[in-house]
Amino acid sequence: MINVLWVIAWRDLLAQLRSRSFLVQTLLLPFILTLLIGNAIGGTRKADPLPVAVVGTGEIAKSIGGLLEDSKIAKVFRLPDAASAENAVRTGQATMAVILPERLEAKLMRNDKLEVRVLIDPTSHQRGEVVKQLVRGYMQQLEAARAAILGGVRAIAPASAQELQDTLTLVRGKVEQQFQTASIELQTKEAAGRSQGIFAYYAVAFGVMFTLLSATNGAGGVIDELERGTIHRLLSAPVTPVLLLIAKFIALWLLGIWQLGAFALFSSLIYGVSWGAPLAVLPVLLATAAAAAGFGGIIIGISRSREQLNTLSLVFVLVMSLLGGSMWPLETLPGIAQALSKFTYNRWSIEAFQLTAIGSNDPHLFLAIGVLSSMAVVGVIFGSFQLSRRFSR
Amino acid sequence: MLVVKNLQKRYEKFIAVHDVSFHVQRGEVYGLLGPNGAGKSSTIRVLSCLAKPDLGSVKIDGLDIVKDQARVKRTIGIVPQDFALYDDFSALENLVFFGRLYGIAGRELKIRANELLEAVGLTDRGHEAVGTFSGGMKRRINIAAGLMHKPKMLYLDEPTVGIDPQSRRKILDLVKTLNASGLTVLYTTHYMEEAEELCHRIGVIDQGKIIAEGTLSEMRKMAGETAPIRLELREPLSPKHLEQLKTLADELIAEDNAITLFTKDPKDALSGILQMLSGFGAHVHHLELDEPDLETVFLKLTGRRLRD
Repeated sequence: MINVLWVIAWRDLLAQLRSRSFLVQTLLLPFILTLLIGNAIGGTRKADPLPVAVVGTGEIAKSIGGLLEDSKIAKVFRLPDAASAENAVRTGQATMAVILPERLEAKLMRNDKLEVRVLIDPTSHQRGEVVKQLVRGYMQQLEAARAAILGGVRAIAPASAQELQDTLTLVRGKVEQQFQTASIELQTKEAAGRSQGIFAYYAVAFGVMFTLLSATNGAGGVIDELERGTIHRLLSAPVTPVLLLIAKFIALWLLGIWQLGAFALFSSLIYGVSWGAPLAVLPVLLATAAAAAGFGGIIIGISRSREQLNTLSLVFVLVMSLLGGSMWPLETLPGIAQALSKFTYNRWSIEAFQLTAIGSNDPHLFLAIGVLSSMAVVGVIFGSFQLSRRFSR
Repeated sequence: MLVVKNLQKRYEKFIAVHDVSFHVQRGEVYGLLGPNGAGKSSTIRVLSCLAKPDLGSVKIDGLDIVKDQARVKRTIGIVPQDFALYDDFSALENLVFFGRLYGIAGRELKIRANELLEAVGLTDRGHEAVGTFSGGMKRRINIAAGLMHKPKMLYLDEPTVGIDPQSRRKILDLVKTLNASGLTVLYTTHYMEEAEELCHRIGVIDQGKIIAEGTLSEMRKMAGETAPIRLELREPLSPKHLEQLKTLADELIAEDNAITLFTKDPKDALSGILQMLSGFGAHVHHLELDEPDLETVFLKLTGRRLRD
């Protein structure tokens, strides 16, 4: 049985590797696209800091500016008023603006209502949101500090002038010490593999997408067998439809491993994209290729003609890639789409590779490998069942 | 070797094979003759384990086709009507691939593949991709692929469709050679002359049923003592003229502008027939005088020609 599986799988592999169109589609095309995108978005270079305009004077405005600069997400410049800040965002000089109220420190101590305005260019919404959260966090810290100072001051009840002097000296010392040591420490650490930059994200996302594309297209091998009549010769030999499907799955799986492996190697050698430690990457790569081959099995089970197969492949790959994060990061999708993405192969694979890239042993990595493997099993079972039904009539 | 009893195969409402029974003896070439769509390929599909029979039973070398499928598959070799070959593989690679499916390996595999290449006269083209071959060459490799595992019985489904006369001759000779070496052959065709040349016994199938069966001489007897005169006219005759023409023959079958007249002495009757047609103003396009053959049998039994 194993001999038969290997004989059929090997023939498919050989046929694909001899096919120029296959090589172009599965290797050259993803590499070219990656090169284009890599150059377009600057390789592994991190994204440039956002130009952020800060309107406001005084220590707090200075402090916020410093905080944003330290975050490395923003490059801060100052503007005198809200109108010029709005104009800067509209004209693209700034992708966002933080507008602090006048006499902020005094208002804060008087417990006046404070309104800090943040303007964000929608095209930089994602990173803009991060900056907004930083400003909000900073304002909350200020509020806490104000309350602490107020409480401390109210608690002062000196019995003599000397005691008042001593208390004030002590408070001053404490406050100065607190503000120095408890200054906000900011660590910028982006999510998982994207810490390498947006190109690294898309390298993984494209690799995963093209592996699925190849697997679904490769599923056309069964249609070819039907059209040229070899399927009749195969099934009249000691080969059952289930064996045939498993052999096709093995071929698609091996091609997927080869393709994704080559892609990972290429992107890491040319652009220095880190996919993670080879031993950690391997199970994810195997599971990803298996899941892609499993979808190939589903396509084999459903398709009756080349036209049907092409349409189904396109729909499968597009929907999965759109929902699963291969076209754009998942975080940018609406909630419902993010929920649906859990049914896509791309999401689990991309997330798993992001985790291997940062050397994480998060349980989510094992969950992702499990989900991808399950997708492969479901694909094989479904395809086998359908093919058996078709040829047992 | 092969015993088919009351075989029925239905595809939804369409009955492709209807209560078919026949048997093929060891070492025999049995011809399944019928027009396109008669049920030959559907019968072969069932006999090749590609479809399950709805009713009836099939035994090959004593093995039940449903219960002993794995062993049956090793007993039979199939040569499908399509070129069931991989165009991107060489002839040798194709043979090696199909041999491996049956567990043949190593030296034995190479020897067998080369033997068959020689048998089909393609040794010098063995390393060329099948996609570059002519139809006739592909047909020959198609036969060789069905023989890789040394089956006891070979199904040849219309193996000469769409090829030139020389290639056809080579294939017919090859089938004779294979049969002479002891191979039992089930041969489906709609070419009566092939059935006449190759087959020890013939089953005529039409609309999913075997309508006649026997040796060639038995079949000729079925056609009776009359022989056919086949005519093709430029225009169909009117019913009135057909009635008049019928008086000159024992039987007349007309299909559009094709007319077949059966008569005991065609040569004598011919001049009168031509004279009458001339009187009708009909132009004879084509004329054939034949001995009674399978075409005649089929025509007599169904009122239709085999090639329709």
